[in-house]
Amino acid sequence: MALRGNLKDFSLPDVFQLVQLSGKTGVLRIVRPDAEGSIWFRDGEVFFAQSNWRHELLGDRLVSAQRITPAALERALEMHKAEGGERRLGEILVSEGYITQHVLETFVQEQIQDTIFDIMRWDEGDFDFEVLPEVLHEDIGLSVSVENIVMEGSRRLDEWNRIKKKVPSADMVFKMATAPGEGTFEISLKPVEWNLLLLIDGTRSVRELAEEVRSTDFEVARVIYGLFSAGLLEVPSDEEVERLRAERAAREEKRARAATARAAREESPAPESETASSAPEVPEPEAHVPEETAVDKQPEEAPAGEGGHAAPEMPEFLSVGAEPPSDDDMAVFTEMMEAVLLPHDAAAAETLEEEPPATPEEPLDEVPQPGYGPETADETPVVPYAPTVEDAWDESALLAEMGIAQPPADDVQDQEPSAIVEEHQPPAEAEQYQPPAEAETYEMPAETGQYETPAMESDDVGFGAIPESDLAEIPAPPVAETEGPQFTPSGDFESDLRTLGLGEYPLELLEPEPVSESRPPMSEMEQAAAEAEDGSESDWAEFVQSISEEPAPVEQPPAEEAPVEQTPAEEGVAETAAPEGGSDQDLDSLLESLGSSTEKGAGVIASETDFGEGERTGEYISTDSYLAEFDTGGGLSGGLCDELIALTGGGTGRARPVTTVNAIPEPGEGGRLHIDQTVDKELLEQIIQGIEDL
Amino acid sequence: MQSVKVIVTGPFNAGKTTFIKAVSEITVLSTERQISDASGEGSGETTVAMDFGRITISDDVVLYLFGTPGQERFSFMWETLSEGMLGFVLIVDAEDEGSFEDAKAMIAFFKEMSDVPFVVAANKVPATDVKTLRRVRSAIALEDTVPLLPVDAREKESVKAVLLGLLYRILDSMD
Repeated sequence: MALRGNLKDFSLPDVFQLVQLSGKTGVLRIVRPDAEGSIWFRDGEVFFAQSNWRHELLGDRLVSAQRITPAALERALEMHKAEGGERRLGEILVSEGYITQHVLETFVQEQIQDTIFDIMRWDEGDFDFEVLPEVLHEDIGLSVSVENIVMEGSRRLDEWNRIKKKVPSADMVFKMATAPGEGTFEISLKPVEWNLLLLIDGTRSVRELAEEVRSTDFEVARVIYGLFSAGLLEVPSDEEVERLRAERAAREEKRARAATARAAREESPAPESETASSAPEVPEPEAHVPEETAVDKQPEEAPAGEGGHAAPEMPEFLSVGAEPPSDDDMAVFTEMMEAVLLPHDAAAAETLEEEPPATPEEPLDEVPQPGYGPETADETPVVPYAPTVEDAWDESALLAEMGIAQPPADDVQDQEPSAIVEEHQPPAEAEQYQPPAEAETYEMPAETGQYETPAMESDDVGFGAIPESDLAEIPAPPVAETEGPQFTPSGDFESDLRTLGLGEYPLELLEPEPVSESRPPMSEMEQAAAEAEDGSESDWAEFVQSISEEPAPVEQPPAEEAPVEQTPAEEGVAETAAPEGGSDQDLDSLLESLGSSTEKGAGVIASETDFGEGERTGEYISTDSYLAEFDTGGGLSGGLCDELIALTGGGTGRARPVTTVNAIPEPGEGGRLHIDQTVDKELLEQIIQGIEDL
Repeated sequence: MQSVKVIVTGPFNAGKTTFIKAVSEITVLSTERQISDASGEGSGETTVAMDFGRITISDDVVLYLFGTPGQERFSFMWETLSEGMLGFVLIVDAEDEGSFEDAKAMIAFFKEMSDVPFVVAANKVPATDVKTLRRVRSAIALEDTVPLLPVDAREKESVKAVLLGLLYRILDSMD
C-alpha cells in the first residue's frame, strides 16, 4: 500500500517519522511543479536523497573542498559516461583512488542532509512513498538517522527564518561595502565566503550567485547573511545595480572580443613572435598564470617606448624557465599562506614564535657602519665585494652595470634645469653608493681629496654628456672650499639615485643651500616662497624658520658634523641652486622648473617622513565574535555563536581553513608593521651585493 | 638560513607580478585567479593572494619577494603579507592615470601602517624621462622624501636598480 499525500496536509517530518516507525524500505518521492526529489529509506533509516532543485553535485562538492582536482572529476565523469552509468560517480572516484570510502560517505551524507533540507523548505508538493523490497543501486551503505535529519532540518529552517530577515529574497543584490562596518578591525573569512566576495559585485542576485558557485541559495544566503551582518556588504540602489550591470555587460563584451581576437591569433601562427610562441613551453606550476595570459599581458605592460626607450619582446629570463621552487621556498610560501589563512590569533602567535628576537650580542647600534662617518680605517669593515676605486670612478661602466643608459648630450640641452641637476652629477658621488669604496677613501687621503671636491676636480672626472658651457654655470660647492676631507657619505641614497640617473631630485636637497652664504636677499626668498602659495601655513612657518635659524654651514662647518648636516647630494645641488654670486634668475628658473612640486613648499627643508608611532594595540574582532556579541541566546542553535559555526560549516566536522583579514586602522593610529629587526647593516650590505651580482 | 622579505605592492595591474618574475630565480608562485566581472578591466588574470619570488643572496641568505593583490578590495591582506618586511616597493603604472588615486591610497595605507622604508617605482617610464616622473610624483602626491624611480618591470636590470634603490634607502635609514 502506497503512502500518498500533500505537503500542505502532512509535513515531511511527519512522513519521515511514520516511515521510520514502520521500518519500511522504499523511496519517498516529492513532486512539485518545478522540481522533484526523492528520499530512499532502508528499514526506516535514510540512506540516500536527491533532487533536481538547485542541488550541488557530489563532484562539485569534492572539487570545492579540494578533495579532488577538476581534472580528476572530469576523468571520473568520462568513465561514468563510458560505463553507461553502471557505477555511480562516487564509486568510480573511490575505485580510482581519488578519495577514500570514508570521504565519500562524509560528502554523500552532507549531500543527503542538504537535499533533504531543501525539500523540507518546500511549502507545497505531493509525496508518494513506494515500498520496495530492496534498493541496491543507490545504497552505498550509509545510514542517516531520521531524528538527526529532522533536527538538522529544523535547525536550518530556524536559520533560514533568521537569514530571511536580512536576505528576504533570492533576487536580492549585494555589493561590497565601501568601508568596513563600524568597530570592525579584523574579520575572519572562510574560503566559501572568500569565493563569494569575489563574485559579489552589485550585479548578481543571490540566486545567480548560487548558480555561479554551484551551491544552494540557502548556503549562499547564509554566507551573505554573515558578511552583511559584519558590515562587509551593502545593498545597492536599483539605479546602481542597473549601472553596474551595464558596466559588467560592457566588460564581458570587451573580454569576449579580446578572447576572440586571442583565439584568432593563436589559430594563425605568427612567425615573428618567436619568444611568445615559445613561452608556453615553459614549465609552470599548476597554480601559475597560464602562459598565454602571461604573454598577452606583455603588450599592456610594455613601457611607453618613446624617446628611444626600448620595448623588448618577452625577455629571455622570463621566457626561459626559471628553476622550480625548492622545498625551502615552498615552506616559506606555505608559511606565508598559512599566515593569511590562519585565524589572526594563531597567526600572531606563530609569528611571535618564529620571529627570532634581536640578537643581543649584535645590537644594531654596535654594528660597524662603513663609510657613514669619519671612522678610522680600522673601524671600517672591509667588505670583500667592494669595487676598486678605479672601478668606481668609471661612471659609464658603473651606469652600464646598473643598466642605466646615459642620456645623449643633445638631450641635456632640452631638459629643464632641475633635470640637468639630476644629470650633472658630481662624479665623486658615483661611487658613494659603494660603501666599501668610501671606506677606502679614508685609507687614501690623496684620493679622498678628489672625492670631496668633485666640482673643483671636474676636469679630471668627466661629466659625461654635460657640455662645458653648462658646467661653467654650475658653481663649485661652497663647502668644498673650506672643508678638507669631511666625509664620504656611503649609502647616501639620494646621491646614488642621482648618480644612477634615477629618480627626481628631492626638493629638500634642492633648497637648503639658498640659506647659506650665498643666500639671496630676504625679499627674493619671499618671492620664491610666494610661488608656493598652495603650501600650508606650517610649511610657510617652517620655511621662515629655516631661513632665519639655519646657520650658514659654509662659513663655520664643524668638520665632525658635516657628514650629518650636509650630504654630498646637497652639495651637488647647491652648486646649481645656490651658486656663488649666482644670478637670481637662476634660482627663479630653477624654482619654476620644479612646477607643482615647488608649490608644496619652496625653500622648505622637508623633514623625515613620520611613519607612525610605536606599537598600536591590536584591537580587532572577528566575524564570529562580532556576531556573537549581539545575540547570545534563542533559537534551536542555542545562540548566534553556535549558529555562526553552523553558518560557516563548522558543524560538518570537516576542518576548514579560515582567512585572516586585517582591516585598515583608523586615521592617526600608529603603524603596526615594522621593519625586520633581524637585519643589520652588515646583512643588508650583503644583500645589496647579492642584488648587484644578480 | 636567513631569509628577508621585500613586499612588492601597487595598484591593480601595475606590473607587480612581472616585476617579481623579472628577478626571481624560481618560477614565481602566484595564487592567481581569472578575473571575475567584479575585478574590472585589465589583463586576463589578477593576483588574488600573492606572488612569491626568490633571490639567493648567499648560501645562508635568501631574499623573498612577495607581491600583494592590487585591488583595494583585498587591501585587508596587505598587512598580513607585509608583516616583518624589510621594506616595500610600490609600483605604479605611469601610463595608467586612473590608477594614481589607488596608488595614493596605498601609499597612505602603508605609511599609516608601517614604519619601514619604501620606494615608489613608476613602471613604463624610461630612465631619463624626468618630466614623467615629476608628473607621476605630483599626481600621486608623493612626498619629496620618498624616492620615485623609473622602472620597466620586464627588464631585469631595471628591476634590480629599483631593488637596490630600496635597499640603499633602508641602509640609509639605519643610520
